[in-house]
Amino acid sequence: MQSRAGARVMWIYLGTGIAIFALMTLAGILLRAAQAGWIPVDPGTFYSILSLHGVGMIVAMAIAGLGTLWYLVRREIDLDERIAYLAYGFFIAGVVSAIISVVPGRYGSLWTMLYPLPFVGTYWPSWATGAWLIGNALVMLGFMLWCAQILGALLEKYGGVRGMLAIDYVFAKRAFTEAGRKPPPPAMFAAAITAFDGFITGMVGLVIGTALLVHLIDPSVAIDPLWAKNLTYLFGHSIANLAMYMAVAGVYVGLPMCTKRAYHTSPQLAVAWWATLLFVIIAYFHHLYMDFAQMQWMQFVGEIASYLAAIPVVVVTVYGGVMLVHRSGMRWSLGSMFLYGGMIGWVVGGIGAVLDATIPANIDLHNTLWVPAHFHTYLLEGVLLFTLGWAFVNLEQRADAVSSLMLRWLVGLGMFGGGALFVFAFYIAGAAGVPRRYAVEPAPGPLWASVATVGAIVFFIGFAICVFEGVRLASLPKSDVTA
Amino acid sequence: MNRRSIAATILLLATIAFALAPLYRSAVDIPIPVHHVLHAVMMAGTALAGILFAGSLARERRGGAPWLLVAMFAPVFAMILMWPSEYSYFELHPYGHIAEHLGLIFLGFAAGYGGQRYANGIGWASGIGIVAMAVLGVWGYGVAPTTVAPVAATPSAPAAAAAPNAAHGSVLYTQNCAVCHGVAGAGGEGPPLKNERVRKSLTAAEAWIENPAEPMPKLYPGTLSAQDVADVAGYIETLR
Amino acid sequence: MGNAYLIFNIFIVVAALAIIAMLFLANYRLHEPLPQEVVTSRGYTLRRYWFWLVLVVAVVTFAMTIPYFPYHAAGASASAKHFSVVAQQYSFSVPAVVPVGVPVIFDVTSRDVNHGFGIYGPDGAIVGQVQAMPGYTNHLLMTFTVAGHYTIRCLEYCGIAHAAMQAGFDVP
Repeated sequence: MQSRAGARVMWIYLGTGIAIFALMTLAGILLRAAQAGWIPVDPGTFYSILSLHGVGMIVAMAIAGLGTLWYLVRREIDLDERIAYLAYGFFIAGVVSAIISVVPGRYGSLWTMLYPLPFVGTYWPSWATGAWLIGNALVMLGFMLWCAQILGALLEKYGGVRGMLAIDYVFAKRAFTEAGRKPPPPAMFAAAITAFDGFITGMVGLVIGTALLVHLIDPSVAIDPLWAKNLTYLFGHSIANLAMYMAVAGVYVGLPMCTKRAYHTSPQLAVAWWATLLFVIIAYFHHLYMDFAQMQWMQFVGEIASYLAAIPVVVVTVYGGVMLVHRSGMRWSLGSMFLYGGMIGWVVGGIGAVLDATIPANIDLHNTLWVPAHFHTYLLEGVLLFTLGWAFVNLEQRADAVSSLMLRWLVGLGMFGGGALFVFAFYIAGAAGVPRRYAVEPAPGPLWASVATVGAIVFFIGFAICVFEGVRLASLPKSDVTA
Repeated sequence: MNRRSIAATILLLATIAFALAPLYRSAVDIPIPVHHVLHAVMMAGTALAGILFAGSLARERRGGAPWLLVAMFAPVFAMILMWPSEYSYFELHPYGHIAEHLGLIFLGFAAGYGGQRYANGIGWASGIGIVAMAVLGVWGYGVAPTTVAPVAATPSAPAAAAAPNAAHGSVLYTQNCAVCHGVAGAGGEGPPLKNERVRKSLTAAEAWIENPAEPMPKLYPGTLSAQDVADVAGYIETLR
Repeated sequence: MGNAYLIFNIFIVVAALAIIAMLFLANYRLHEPLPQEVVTSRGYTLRRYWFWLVLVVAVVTFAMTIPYFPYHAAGASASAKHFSVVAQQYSFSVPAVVPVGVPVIFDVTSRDVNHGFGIYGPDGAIVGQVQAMPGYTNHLLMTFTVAGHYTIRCLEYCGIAHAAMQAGFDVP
């Protein structure tokens, strides 16, 4: 069913996400320029901006992905958009609270703060800590509202967990199809896994968030630092990964539109998402490889789960995407460039991630710049591109127009070329052992930070051109040609 | 009354009876992790009762969006209510403790019932969630390992009887202070300390080192003994 | 393993291959269009092999990495010398000299927040690291084969002077 209410929700979410992303990119360029020595920034300010940059980027990408998924679910199932707006309100309130804690609060304990931070050695007032924690809690509540609504809708429409995950379709396919039943479309699996794992993520985030807030008010309440570390990483890892898997829905629907081919649910797709459902969460142990106080079995599980989590991606989603595009005669528009380029970025980031998730390699790479290297690849050249690609495919189809060749080259060079330079500088500095989260880096950090700053500026120019082009396409009259 | 309602009522009454435990048994000797488990059990009882009650409603009488808010906020308030403090009023006064328990089981019921009123299956998600959150607290909410014993002397040691040893203070300064205050007080992230004797007397410097304002780390009595503090302060007073 | 550059080279090679392969397969100028059924029937056949290849590589690699896990300090040689390392805001207390060629165990803890005990060799590359946590002691088993000055850097964000937290020891 077409849904104007759903489309409105989607564009509000998408626009907000991209706007926050743009602001956070400027903050990021400032940070890299500071590390390059181009702009003097004192460490306190550096860490405050870094805190906002981290949480802002994740929330921006999540908002954009949640909006896309909401629209795609709304096309299949009746949803109350008041809940979507309420969740949106929580997100905005949370972002505002986080901004206030940083400017003027000067909160600087970063978004995956590890207890006993942010209670020891702070250079900001404790109200800023409170504002930060409350901001995070508000975002978490908005996220859980979204997850509960979508989960409720999917459970109701497809018949419980069994139907939502297409268990009968996989294990008793003949009986299933002969009864005339259909499994959920591919994008609904992205929605189901996001909502299900998101619910768990939200719960975990609320536990650690409440514990920290209670400790802020009553410091006599003890918290175990290793417990806090586990919960913090379970929450942070999951929400960052889910931001990626949300955006995949845009690929599942967008690439078929670009290639004029169909993409259906298969038993392999269903099983791939079951694997994702499980491995995304338990892979979080890979953040604690260098915590020898962890129980050893957790380290083993972390490594194998991190490896296995890559299989659904490369065997089903990316492989399926390549099959859709291969020999389809698909031309490159901004929409298709971004969707396909995002898959390439996801694979490259994944290679960096799998290497870091290998424990003997982690000894050399943990908490070096390799870590931001791999997740900037995922986010900048993966999630962001899926999000923009989905937006452009819709804009291009609505106006029945594509961008000029020169514009596509400019945007491509900027976002792919500049982006590649930007992440490359992270990888090589990480391999050289330059630590992450250093306001002042040892050599050769500043040299590569200079390269990264140039890359980031080129990227931002390409991104800005792309945004203007998007606005231009959106302002064109709607084409009479029905899709 | 169908079978579900009867089962739910029995479950609810049993849980309330369980929640009234502080009336006949002191809770002071129950460790915090065990307490979290007991809270989880209580909330499991009423969450299940809530799911059964809502499940017995006809489909047309199911509510809508407001119930979603109930199901979402119940776990949040439950986490706050489980504020684990050994000096809490609730631990010491049985009626306060019971009030806390009744609050928790009400929230458990709200999670299960509210979730199911919103959509079939969400009651299970909220109910299991609220119980899981309580269980998750067992390993670290209100408990922590003992901290590292300080290496230096105890705080009750008298103020430095011997004169400050600036040579020793210089060694301590390089190890602990130079990272922020720079070599020989040149400054860095921390302010320069050259001519600090003009701004602070020896006694004032010692007092500052023992109780600094953040973000300067408090190294006394953990890292520095009272004599160490005197030695460092003595060294700093010599900086020009 | 002290070979981050090897890891980097593996990354560059594999990433380059992946990028080239994906661009090649998507290029509309190089291939005549084919109906979707033909592409998918070939593709699904190939995918079965691709799946098994990826799975086997994943499991075998996992098994091969296990001997290099750093978690065996507990069962390590009883004769290994222990050195206490205490991290705090913003310094480390470390031994001044560590013997060469013999297994040593660093017992690492923290006085306040999480820190990272990162050991950089004389050539500037990381040779080992472990987290320094308050309330816990982590045991890092190492054998230093190269003499020289080793630098310690903090590898877990710990506050405003995180980047300045440094120490060192010599291996004669």
